[in-house]
Amino acid sequence: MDLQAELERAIPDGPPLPPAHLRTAAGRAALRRRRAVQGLAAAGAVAAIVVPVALASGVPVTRGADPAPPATNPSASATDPAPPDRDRSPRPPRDPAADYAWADGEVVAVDLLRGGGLLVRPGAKVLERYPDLYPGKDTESVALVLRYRGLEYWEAWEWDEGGASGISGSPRDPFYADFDDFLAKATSSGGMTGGRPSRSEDAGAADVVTPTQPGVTWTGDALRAEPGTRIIEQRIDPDLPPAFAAPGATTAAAYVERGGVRSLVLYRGDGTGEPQLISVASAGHGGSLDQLLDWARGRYRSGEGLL
Amino acid sequence: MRTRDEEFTAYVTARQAHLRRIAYGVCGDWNRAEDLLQTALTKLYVAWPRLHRDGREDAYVRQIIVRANLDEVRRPWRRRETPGLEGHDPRARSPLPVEDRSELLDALLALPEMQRKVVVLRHWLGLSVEETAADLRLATGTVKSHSHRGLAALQARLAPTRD
Repeated sequence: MDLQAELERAIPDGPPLPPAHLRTAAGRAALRRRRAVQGLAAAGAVAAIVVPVALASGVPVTRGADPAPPATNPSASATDPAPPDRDRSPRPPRDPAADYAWADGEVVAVDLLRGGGLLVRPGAKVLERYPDLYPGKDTESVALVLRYRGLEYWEAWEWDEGGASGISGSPRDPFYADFDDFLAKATSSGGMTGGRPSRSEDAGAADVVTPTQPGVTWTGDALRAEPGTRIIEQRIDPDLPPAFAAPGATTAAAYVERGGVRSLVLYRGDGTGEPQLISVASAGHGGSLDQLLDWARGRYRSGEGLL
Repeated sequence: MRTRDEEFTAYVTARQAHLRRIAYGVCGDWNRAEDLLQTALTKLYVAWPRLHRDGREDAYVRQIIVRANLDEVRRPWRRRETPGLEGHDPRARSPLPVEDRSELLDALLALPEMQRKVVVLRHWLGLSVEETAADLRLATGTVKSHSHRGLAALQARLAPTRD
């Protein structure tokens, strides 16, 4: 049989599509957020636990408990980098990772000068890789589990051409229960923006969505907290728009706390497709289930959603 | 000269139905397909000038769709939410009523996830082995292996009813 033609016939069109202008509006909002993030990065507004990376000088900043400011000319903007002057132009790299000046304990870096790629220290082995930590953002991001000289390291990084930030941990760090706990805390900070509300006058700029661990399960009639999670409030059928779930689908929402991180958790299941739990950090979006649901409704009505 | 919004809206109007079918083909769930497509289109809008100039809009969206779905499966908290993915993918279930689905669609959605993706990319969209490998970030040999197994599974499932 002509498999290509058969597949073309077999795969259906599906439910009605949203109007194209909603997609455009969602894209426009993402572009505004991206510009705001770049503006924040240029202003040096990164979270305290985030390690800044030198942008213009090419000299990587040694990480430590008190991150040093980027070794850049303060007047140089990350969003509008000046062309490199002739004296500072880097030579064509042989091997960016081999050329990089690795600090003690440093196993991962982002090389913004030479294409923005993620560098892994020579000799380090990547054991696990979890890309795109912030699916709604137009940045590159990844979390890695690595082994270097017999020790395990955890890294979470986010970057684009405007800047980069990373968070490091390890099984030896008492602050984290395990890698999943590290990742949940790393991503709950909102990456480059630290999850803080934007200082931009553009309200959309603060609308950063950060995935978190749900910490709850659906029992068939309610959400139940897993060990380590506290459900502050939950609601069955929270009246979310059709873009979240088709009419008649089973839906629920909960405001939960896990490991010091508060999240909005949404559940949807229509009895046929795979049930889904969507969990996002609540910081910056509301302090009650009502407020968070209002925010989520707006995201789904605009076509952006939460994934 | 048209603006970015005008160009993008025209593109979405023309292509979103096809692109969402691709998303459904790789994930087997309309809700997730919609989420995948929206994520991909949002990123496309941001990178629109460069991608539109190069004529790579479809390829970019397709890659985000297949890779984003992979990311969801690999994400640790996702793995905890969806035990038993290996061998049988619960996402294969479709919200379409059974009577509205074809045997071929049923067979496709019953494939393990990576085989399904390879079949969609190679045998529906007509990508080469190399293009499929690049989209899925696999070795070409792995693509060939998934393709072989996927086609064999489709034939085995369809054969008894197609005699």
